Amino acid sequence: MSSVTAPPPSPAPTAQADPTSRGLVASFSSVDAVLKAVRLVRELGIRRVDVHSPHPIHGLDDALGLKGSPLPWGAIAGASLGFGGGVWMAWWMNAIDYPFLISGKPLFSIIPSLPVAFELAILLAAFAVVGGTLLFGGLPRLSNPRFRVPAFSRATNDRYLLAVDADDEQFQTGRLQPLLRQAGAESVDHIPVENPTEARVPRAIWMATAILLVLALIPPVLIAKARSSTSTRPRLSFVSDMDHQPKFKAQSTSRLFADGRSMRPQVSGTVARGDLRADDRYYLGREPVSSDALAKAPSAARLQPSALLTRVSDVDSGSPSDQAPPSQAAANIDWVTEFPLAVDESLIRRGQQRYGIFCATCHGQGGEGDGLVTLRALELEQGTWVRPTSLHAEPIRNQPVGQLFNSISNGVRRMPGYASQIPVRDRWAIVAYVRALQRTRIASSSDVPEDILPNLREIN
Amino acid sequence: MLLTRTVLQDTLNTREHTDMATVSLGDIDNTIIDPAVRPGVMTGDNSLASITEQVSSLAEQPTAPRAWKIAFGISVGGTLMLFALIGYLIATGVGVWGNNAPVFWGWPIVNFVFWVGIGHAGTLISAILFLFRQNWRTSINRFAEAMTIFAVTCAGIFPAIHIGRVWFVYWLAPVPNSLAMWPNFRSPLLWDVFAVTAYATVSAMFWYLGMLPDLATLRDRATTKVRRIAYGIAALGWSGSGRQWRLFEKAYLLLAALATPLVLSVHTIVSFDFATSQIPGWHTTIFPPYFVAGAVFSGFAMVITLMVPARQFFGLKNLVTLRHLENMCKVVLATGMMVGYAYGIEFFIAWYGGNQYEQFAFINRALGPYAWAYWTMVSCNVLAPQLFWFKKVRTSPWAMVAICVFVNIGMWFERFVITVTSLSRDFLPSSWGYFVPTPVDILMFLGSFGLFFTLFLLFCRYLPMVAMAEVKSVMPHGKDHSCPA
Ligand code: HEC
Repeated sequence: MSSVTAPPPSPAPTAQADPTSRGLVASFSSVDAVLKAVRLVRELGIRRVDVHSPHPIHGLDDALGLKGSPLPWGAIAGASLGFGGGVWMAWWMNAIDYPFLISGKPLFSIIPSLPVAFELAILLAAFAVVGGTLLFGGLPRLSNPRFRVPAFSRATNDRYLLAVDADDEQFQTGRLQPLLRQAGAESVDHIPVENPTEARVPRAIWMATAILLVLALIPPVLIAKARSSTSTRPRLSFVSDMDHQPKFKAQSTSRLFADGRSMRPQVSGTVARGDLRADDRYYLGREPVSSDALAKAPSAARLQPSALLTRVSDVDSGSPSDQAPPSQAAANIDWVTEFPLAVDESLIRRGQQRYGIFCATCHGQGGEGDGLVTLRALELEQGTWVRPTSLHAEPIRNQPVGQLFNSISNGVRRMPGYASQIPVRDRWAIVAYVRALQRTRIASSSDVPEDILPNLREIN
Repeated sequence: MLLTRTVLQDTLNTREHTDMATVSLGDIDNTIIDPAVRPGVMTGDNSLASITEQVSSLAEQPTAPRAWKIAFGISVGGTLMLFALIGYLIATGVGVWGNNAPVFWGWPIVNFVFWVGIGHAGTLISAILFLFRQNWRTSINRFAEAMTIFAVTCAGIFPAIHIGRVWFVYWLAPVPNSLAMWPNFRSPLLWDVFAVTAYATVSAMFWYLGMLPDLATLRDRATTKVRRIAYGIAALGWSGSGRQWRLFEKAYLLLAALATPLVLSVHTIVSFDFATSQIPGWHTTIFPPYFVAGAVFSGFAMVITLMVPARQFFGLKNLVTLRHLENMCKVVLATGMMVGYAYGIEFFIAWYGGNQYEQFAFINRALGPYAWAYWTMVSCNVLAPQLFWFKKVRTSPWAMVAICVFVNIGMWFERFVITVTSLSRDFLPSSWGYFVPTPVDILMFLGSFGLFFTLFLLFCRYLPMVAMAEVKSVMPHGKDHSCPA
């Protein structure tokens, strides 16, 4: 077969004459034979030649003159994009757009973003490689005129097919056919010209696809409409997510009870456990009110005795609080002057701790009315902020403990009440601590126990 | 381990085998390795046409064999049960499982890790062995890759349904949502989402791309219109042109190079789910390599378990030879020893590290209430594969299936032991508990096998089970070995 030599390329290529042929396909039974034939054909100056084989052939790239490949570049681009995208997401999503504080870790650091960046790098690189293979390999291409040559079906089985395109400038059926046969081709066939109607996707399929697409648009359009318009009907919930629970809500009606209320009043003549609070000294900080005193009080106060005490001095709000004279209403009340519970060191310590939590923010650790919140508010020059009373002011120092207790419980003028946050015993503990705090400013060295005296030193 | 390192097989050698083997479908012992002769990939007298015929005809039988139908019926039953139970779970809540304080990670996670691990052998065979130019892989890689994809499918189900409100599963992905919130990129559970998704996608693309030439073969052999259209669309118009093959080979190499670090990273990240927590018994640096070795171990065991019956049933003994099986047994033996080493070193570090919680976790594993699970794991994973030291065992297919079934049981137990023993007894003895699975747990796990085998049987029935084009490319061709007309 090596004796076959290619005829010299014809000087004046003639245009393809046969309108029923798009080229030639020659079938070979061995790799060597087809490689040899490729070289012969290319020696003729024909460039539009390809080999179809059931497996890759080594040496074919050189014979066909295929060089270079875009795939590695695609892979590098995909990997870079994936890696960069992964790191970017971790940074932008967790540190910028929605700062995500977890166990005091930095909002962004490179190491924990590596796994996602790595996986995305691989994924996008693989997409690029597969996409590139399809794109540059001309896939998908479901209709190919070469498939119509009967011999072609063995290109994926056990034959090596050489195909020459008729649009090559050097293509000449008359010259090529004998050459290919001489090179050992088992058969040489024309590639039929594609019948355009046969190659086209049937009309019915187009129609069906179009109709399906339009139908598929209906649900999203309905959803979009529902979301952008109002309706008097309750919304549809496909997944109820505990939206509807069989329970009564506050202030709702119920047919279960004769009075039609779902909220149940207390049974008359009873007191709920822990609600008795009979000891006025302990719970209200004042001496018990005799029943005739109550009878003289306005009716609203009678219903709710503590209303008598709540915000009794609201009218004074806004006045410079340090000099605020004790309001008339509060002064008339018979506050307890003795602690209604045993005071010991542990109670005072408890009070110190609670004071630090609940009071120091405004009143300051030393009770001077210089807590951090106060300082900040004054710095911002907010006109509405009232500086808390110094706990060392004379009038406060002279207040009975019951009144201090009441100030904490129900607030006073601009200061809110803390009854809901601080349990009764803790409120008394704070009062005890405030008393101790006040003593620190008026005590003399004679008040200090002998054994501690040597430890004292002058501070200013 | 001496493995073949040929690109083009020695023709002479094939001739030798041909002479020995007149019965081309029998179990020919090609496991004796003569260092002077390069071993062939296949046994018997194969030609391009005979390979095409042998592999394609399996996917072309007009009616399925009886045994296939029975197996398929059972598998579909399992699949339906799985989906029914998933429906029940979604409608009722994850309380239908045995997961409860303190073991909030019960069987679903165990099953997830089990299935993901199984998948790893496929990628290993198709990518890593490809990079090492192990040509013997060509006749088993398609099979193993299919197994990967089906195993990852089974794996993906469990984490997806264990999140509780399944309809919010998209919150796992960084999708803009009405909460204006993003997933936490410092959480290993999020890494896992990315790793498993990337792994499933890349494996599927790798598998599909590799299958294009073989789908084209089926298209060109198709005798009915339905088959021609179906395989025609699936083959995307592959024509096997020089340009396409060039791209194909490049793409295959690149994908192998990408899939190799990917497969190692996936089980590493799965192990991070555990290792980055503070639970004693989980918080160890040995987890990534230990998990990867375990994954390869269980995956190869699964390939053998499926391969032996399949080659018998579909008459593929000349393509999937004893030497293939023996090589895989050696991999199982090697990775089994790695896993055994990891079991040992965990105890050593617990003692050497001097952390009393860690020490307790391991003493509790071996002697505590789950000792039965621990010793099942050790006997299946460490002791059973030792039989592969004997060549007799490595070359008797049914013996290896038995051992590999034990390995798969053992590897499931390994994940169970890691997950459940550590969670059931952590720092605070007052919150200790004992995990008991519910029937839903058990049936769902069985159902996942149904799904796996359903997909697998469909694959065996309708797709080219052996990568024909790849086998052909490592056959001797050209020269004097022209194909009979
Ligand atoms: C939100 C800041 C704030 C906190 C917290 C706060 N106070 Fe006050 N307190 C004030 C202000 C402001 C006044 C002065 C109110 C006025 O004059 O309108 C005041 C006044 C007082 C007075 C003087 C009442 C009177 O009769 O004039 C006492 C006593 C007092 N607080 C005690 C406490 C104690 C004890 C706590 C801790 C339980 C506390 N406060 C927590 C802001 C605060």
